[in-house]
Amino acid sequence: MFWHNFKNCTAVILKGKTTIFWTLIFPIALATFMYMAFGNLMEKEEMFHDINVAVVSSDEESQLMYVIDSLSEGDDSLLNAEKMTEEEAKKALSDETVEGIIFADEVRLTVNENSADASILEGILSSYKQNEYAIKNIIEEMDGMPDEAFIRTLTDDIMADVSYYTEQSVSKGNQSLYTNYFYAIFAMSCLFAAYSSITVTGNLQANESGRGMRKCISPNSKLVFILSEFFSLLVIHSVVEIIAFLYMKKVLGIDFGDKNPEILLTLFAGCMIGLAIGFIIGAVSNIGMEGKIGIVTAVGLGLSGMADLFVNGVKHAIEQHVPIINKINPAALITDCFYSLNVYDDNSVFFQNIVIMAVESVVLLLIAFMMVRRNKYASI
Amino acid sequence: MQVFKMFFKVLNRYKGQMIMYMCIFCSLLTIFIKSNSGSKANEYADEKCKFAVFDYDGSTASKALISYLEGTNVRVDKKDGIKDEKISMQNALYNRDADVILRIPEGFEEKLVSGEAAGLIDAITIPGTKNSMLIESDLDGFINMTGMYIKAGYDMATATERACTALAETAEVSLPDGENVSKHSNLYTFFSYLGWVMVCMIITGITLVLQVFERKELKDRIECSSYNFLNFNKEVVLGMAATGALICGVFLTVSLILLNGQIFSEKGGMYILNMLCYAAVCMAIAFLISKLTAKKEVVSMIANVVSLGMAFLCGIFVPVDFLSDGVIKIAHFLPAYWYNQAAINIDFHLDEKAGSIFSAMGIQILFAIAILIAGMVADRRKRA
Repeated sequence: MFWHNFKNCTAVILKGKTTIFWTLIFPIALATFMYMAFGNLMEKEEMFHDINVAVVSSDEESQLMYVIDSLSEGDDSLLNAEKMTEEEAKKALSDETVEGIIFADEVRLTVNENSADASILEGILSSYKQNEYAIKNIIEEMDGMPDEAFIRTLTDDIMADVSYYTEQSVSKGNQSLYTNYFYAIFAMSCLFAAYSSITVTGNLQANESGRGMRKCISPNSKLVFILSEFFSLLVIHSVVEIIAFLYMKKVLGIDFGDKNPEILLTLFAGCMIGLAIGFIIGAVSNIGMEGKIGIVTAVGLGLSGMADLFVNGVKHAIEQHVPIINKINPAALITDCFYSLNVYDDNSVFFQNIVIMAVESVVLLLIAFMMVRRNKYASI
Repeated sequence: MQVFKMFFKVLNRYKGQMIMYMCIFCSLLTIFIKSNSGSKANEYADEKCKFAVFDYDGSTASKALISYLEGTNVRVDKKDGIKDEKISMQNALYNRDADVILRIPEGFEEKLVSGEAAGLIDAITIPGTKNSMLIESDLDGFINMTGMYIKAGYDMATATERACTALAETAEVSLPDGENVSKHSNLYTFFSYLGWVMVCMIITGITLVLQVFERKELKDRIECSSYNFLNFNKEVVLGMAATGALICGVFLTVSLILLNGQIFSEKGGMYILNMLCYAAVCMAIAFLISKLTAKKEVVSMIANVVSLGMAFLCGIFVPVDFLSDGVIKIAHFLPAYWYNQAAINIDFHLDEKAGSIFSAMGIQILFAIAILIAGMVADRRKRA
């Protein structure tokens, strides 16, 4: 009987193509839009690239010009400096083709807005002034005029470009915060699998549909109905999520790391919990189909919103203040699986999340079963 | 007005989703308005980065270095509980709680005095970011300066003190004359995000009602009744317009509460006009969708794809400056782009670009007409 129901449910869902189509199109379309909007945002906003700067100077041989030229040369250059007249420089700044104007004679800077690039430019000019001040200060405070060799040692030290730090990275994974949005798309898409399960649960209740009436008078156990239909939907939605994942990874080229089997397990567990939520909403017999759709939308969007779908950082803020919510919220668990696979070296957090999702799914399914079994209807 | 009344009876059944979108919108707006509440920047201010530091030396030099970095940047390890453990650091860096985590090893001061401090401090960061560069250059600047004073014969305490004095010298930085226009007003934030939520609300409300009128049995009954066909259509259109007006009214009330009456201004009036044009587009989209699908389950997904798609591509969620040229070209074919362009110009250039603002509104109306015609064609084809 299990397989008979499994096959029938699969056929019903696949023949109702629209729901499946939109369940698949939804994450793919959203991911595409987000990729078009966020694709290069980390590269543009956070990563350092040579800063375009206009230089206005009347003395090409000044010390500062020498510093600027040396910072504009070589593989580890910081600046892309171009000498201009004041008018040209102002026009370039207003057209935003340069980040700032360095007035070399006055060691002064004009920038369009407060930004990291502006601070880097300011740091370069300030550093020049600071070194000049320090050397003067040392000479002034010394007894007698220091010899030329000593002054040369000091200036050589300044120009030596020594780094006192060693840069280290603690994670090999994708460090773009914007990837959180793609994790949240998967979370929402998995939770929206609930649309299918409310339809299926409607077919189990005599007050909802003709199919429900027939199933209610059949001698089959409701548990068999629920389990067979649950597994049928689980297979279909897992395939849908895998297609969406392959699209994001292969076509859009989003970096989810290389732990593909674990990611597939996450999607499987995500569909499980999404469907289980749908079963429990669908099992409430005194709410109409429209109401159930509304609840699924509200639950899916609400939980995914708490897992960074709309605003990045919500999940992290919850983690800092009420971490228990993230340990229960299925959308947060799904995104946390992706996050932990991407950032951490070991999989302990990932497995912990999978176990919580599995337990939640089983509990929700059992409650749904308790709600639909032995229902009696005074009048239909 | 039977049909008109029925329109609202059906709408009443679907109000839940509309209220939900309204609640999400209000929560987001409250967060954005709070985070945007600072005054406009008219003076240059240095970018402060977040750093954590673990000092295993505890010497005069390391304490002076930390004290200097605390003055120029923001130290976060105490507040956010960042620990010298891999997972804690991974979380802190990924979530941007810290831009750099510094580890000063034992023996730092001795090596600084002997001139062997190069590469000594661990800077754990996301390599290549601008913010990490800023802190690292502050760190290098301080150690370099202290080293110079030590070479000149000063003791460590005096050297660090003199280094701090020298590092207080800064170059003069100015912003161009006139008001800095890089920051949007709260009124703009409100009406910009409206471009996303209004589509959701109108589609989930109006499409579901129109779908009910499209049900075959109901449609057949209405068509064979004595009720005038023209009156039926008039009342449906009136119902749609009334729903749109109701939603706009709710938004205006929310704006009054959230923005303390800023709407009562010339800019506010233009924003309202722009909103009405966009509401017409949203209603046309809702009409088109009702002709394309009869499935209630998919309306919510379509509403989300359409609204979020336009929000991402048209500069509502991500500023237009960050979008690529290709995306901006595509966005020209979407009504939300013109809605957002009008909103940007109202915020920044109300007087200079009044013509562009009205053109953008006109383009929205043209979009509404085109989408409406597409809906009618779809309906005609379905009937045929």
